[in-house]
Amino acid sequence: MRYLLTRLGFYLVAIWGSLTINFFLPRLAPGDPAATLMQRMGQMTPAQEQSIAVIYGLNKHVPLFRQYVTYLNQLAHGDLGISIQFFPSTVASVIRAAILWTLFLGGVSLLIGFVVGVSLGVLVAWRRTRPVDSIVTPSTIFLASVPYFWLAMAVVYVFALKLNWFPINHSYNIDVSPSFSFSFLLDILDHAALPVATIVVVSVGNWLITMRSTMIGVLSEDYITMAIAKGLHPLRVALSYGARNALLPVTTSAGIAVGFIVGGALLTEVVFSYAGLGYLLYTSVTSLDYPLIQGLLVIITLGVLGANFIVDMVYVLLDPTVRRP
Amino acid sequence: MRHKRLLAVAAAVPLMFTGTVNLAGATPVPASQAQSSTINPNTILTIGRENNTIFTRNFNPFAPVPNLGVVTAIYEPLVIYTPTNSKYTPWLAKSWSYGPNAMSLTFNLRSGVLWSDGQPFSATDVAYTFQILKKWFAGGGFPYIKNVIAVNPTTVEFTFSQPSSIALGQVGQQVIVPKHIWDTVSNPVDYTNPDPVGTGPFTQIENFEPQGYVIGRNPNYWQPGKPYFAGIRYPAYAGDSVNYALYKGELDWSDLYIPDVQKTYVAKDPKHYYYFFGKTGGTINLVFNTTLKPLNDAVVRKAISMAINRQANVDSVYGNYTAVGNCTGVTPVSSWYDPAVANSCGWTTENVAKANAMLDAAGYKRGSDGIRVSPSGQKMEFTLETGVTSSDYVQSAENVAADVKAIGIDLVVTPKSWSTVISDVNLGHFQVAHMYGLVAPTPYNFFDFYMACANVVPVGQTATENWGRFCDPKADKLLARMATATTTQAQHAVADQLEALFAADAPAVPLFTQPDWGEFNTTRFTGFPTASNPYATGQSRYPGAFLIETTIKPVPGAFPQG
Repeated sequence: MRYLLTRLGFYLVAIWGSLTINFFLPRLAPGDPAATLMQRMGQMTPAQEQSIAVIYGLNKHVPLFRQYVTYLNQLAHGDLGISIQFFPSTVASVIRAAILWTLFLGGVSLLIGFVVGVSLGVLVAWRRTRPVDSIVTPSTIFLASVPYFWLAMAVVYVFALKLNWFPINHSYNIDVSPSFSFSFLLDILDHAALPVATIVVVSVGNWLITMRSTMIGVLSEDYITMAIAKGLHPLRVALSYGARNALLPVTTSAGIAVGFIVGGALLTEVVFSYAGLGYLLYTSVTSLDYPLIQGLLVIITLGVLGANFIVDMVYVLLDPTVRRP
Repeated sequence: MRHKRLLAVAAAVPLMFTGTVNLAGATPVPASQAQSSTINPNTILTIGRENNTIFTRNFNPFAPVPNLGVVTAIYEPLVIYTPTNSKYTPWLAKSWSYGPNAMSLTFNLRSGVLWSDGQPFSATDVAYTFQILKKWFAGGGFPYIKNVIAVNPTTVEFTFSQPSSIALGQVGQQVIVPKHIWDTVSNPVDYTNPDPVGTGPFTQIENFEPQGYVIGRNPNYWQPGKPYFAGIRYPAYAGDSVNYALYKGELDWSDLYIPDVQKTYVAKDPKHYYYFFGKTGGTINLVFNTTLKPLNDAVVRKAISMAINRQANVDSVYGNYTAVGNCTGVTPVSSWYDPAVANSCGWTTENVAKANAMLDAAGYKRGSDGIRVSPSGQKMEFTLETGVTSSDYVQSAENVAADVKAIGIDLVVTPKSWSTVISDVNLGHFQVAHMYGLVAPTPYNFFDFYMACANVVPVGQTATENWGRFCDPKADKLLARMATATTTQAQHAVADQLEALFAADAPAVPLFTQPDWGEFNTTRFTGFPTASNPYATGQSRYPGAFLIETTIKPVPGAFPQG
């Protein structure tokens, strides 16, 4: 119990620290939202610029520390403010429009990538130096080092544009209203196939390598030799004795990766015009949309720290030696 | 990547229309237009725009960046200016006239126009729109408006605090909102207006999804029988995937920069795919910080200009889609262009030998490394800033720098984020910059921007105009005359003098005209503008979109019957 509480306390401090950095970091960038808006809209007369400043509240010269306090206060009430790019829509409504797709895309890709990568990792570790290892390991590493956007664009070109096997973009057919029907589910899967496939292809390599190296470490342990000597079935040794122990470090990376899902997949969203938070984060940074940047960073912070916290708890279950006596 | 085009709603001296001008075939409109029973509900036009992954249900026309369709389909202005033929088309206003010395502007509005909820449109709505701007938006960019009065339901009068013949293009292109709706809104600044009521051809929001929405036909539209189809769809595209959609035929109309458009797009379906790029955008210039020596010397600026091979630059960046810059500062397609001035000056024609001779004669000797040094000992090495995300400008800047090396001046291309570049030019913390252009119905704003002493702000203070801080008092005098000139003849006479002054002073160096993009697909709709019938540009974000939306017709049989 005390372990839990101390961990919780640590996370609360980490959250506060992140939120403070979230506030000050975007404001360190040169320029201001009105200037970037001017570039998008064209030269303005001083009168028009003044008008914009009034709309955004930039004409009131509030001291930075006062703005920071207001920001924390609004956050405490769950008010993320009004976006500058999507003015006057609220940051919450902007995020709400895209977050489910980000979670879906990121979650499914991570799950498939993890399962495939870890399973292959177990396989090549168990059969290290055999042909399987010599072929699979280098190929997945090669795929992991292919520039993602190039791969994605090539995939879209071949499979969507030329062969017409899959749609070229979007999360679902925009003529159709979302509904809880089987046909809509198929539509979503149809549109998600290429984005998920491309992400899985480039991420499998990482999971495989991590699993393989920890697994090889575990396989050299004495209890593995003992298990084999006892005559246990190889599959059982590999999974119950080997993989189960090797999974621990991999779980930590998986936990962090889960947290970062909410950061979105920028390149996927750009290439596939897939609704998501990644491109939003990118455009909010380039247009200095402070409220949206802050809102997205808050979500990422909470996502990563939350996932980390859960991993910490799960770790205790997985590895009894971690628990304080 | 394509550069973001800009519509500055500033304008300058208008043509004066005192007569009544009607749209062809439009008669005073009867009360109700329930024509939707004869329009196939499946006839939806799909327009492709980029840089969106999601949309929010925000249709506020006063937002700094309104959603797609808000000011080009839902809400309408009083007049529409088209740069392809330099015409003002009467829209919600039938006619207009200036008062003496351009101290007032009166619009005569159409009668019988209805809002999409059936309520009548009148001058009260126009006056109310400008009241909202004045109260909530610090005047919305029209500080010279003293008062807006609805004299009677079809007449609205603007009075100004100073002579303002630039007013027509500005106030005339402001979209009008209904008083009976906005009267009930407590804060127009924050209001997201989820179910808009407008006078435009498309007003009914249907199928709103974050990744695209359809705006359906206005059942009460004031042009009888129009529009000829049921709705406009705006899907969200982040970047290149809009090009795929265009290529695959999923779009009917788009305004993208497509390299080698004939091969990349038209060749796929030459029967239906075509493009129309108007050479009607703003002039793209090299801007010089004239508070710095030796950039304040016109000889240096003109010499730099003469070193540039403009045609090669345009070919490499835009593949010959557009016109090269000339010394009037005005695009050759415009009716304001004065060929006499353009032909008499020489500094926009490539002539490296002459440029070298000019610099030698003025005392800018070459150093041992080939780079010239000014008489006061300054090395002729300058940073050339531009926005890193505009790959066309970066490429153009590189071409320019390579050309200018030949005359012994070193321009170091320094791409930065646009917000930094804008910050730099506003504050005067730059040397040379490759900037975007200004679009307006007349050249008044261009010359005001680049030459007026009244706009000069000291380095270190923010200037939104006249980044180069160039001052010629003759320009201010001419601009003042243009502001009060109320006949087309008088305006053109002053504009010619301004062009001559620009050619003499060379405050900035015009490189090329920004093309107005436009790609079309006639599989499902016909009637888009073409080079032989340029009734509008292909830009879907300008008021000219209304002209296209009320002209095109669905191809029979292209859609399933509804």
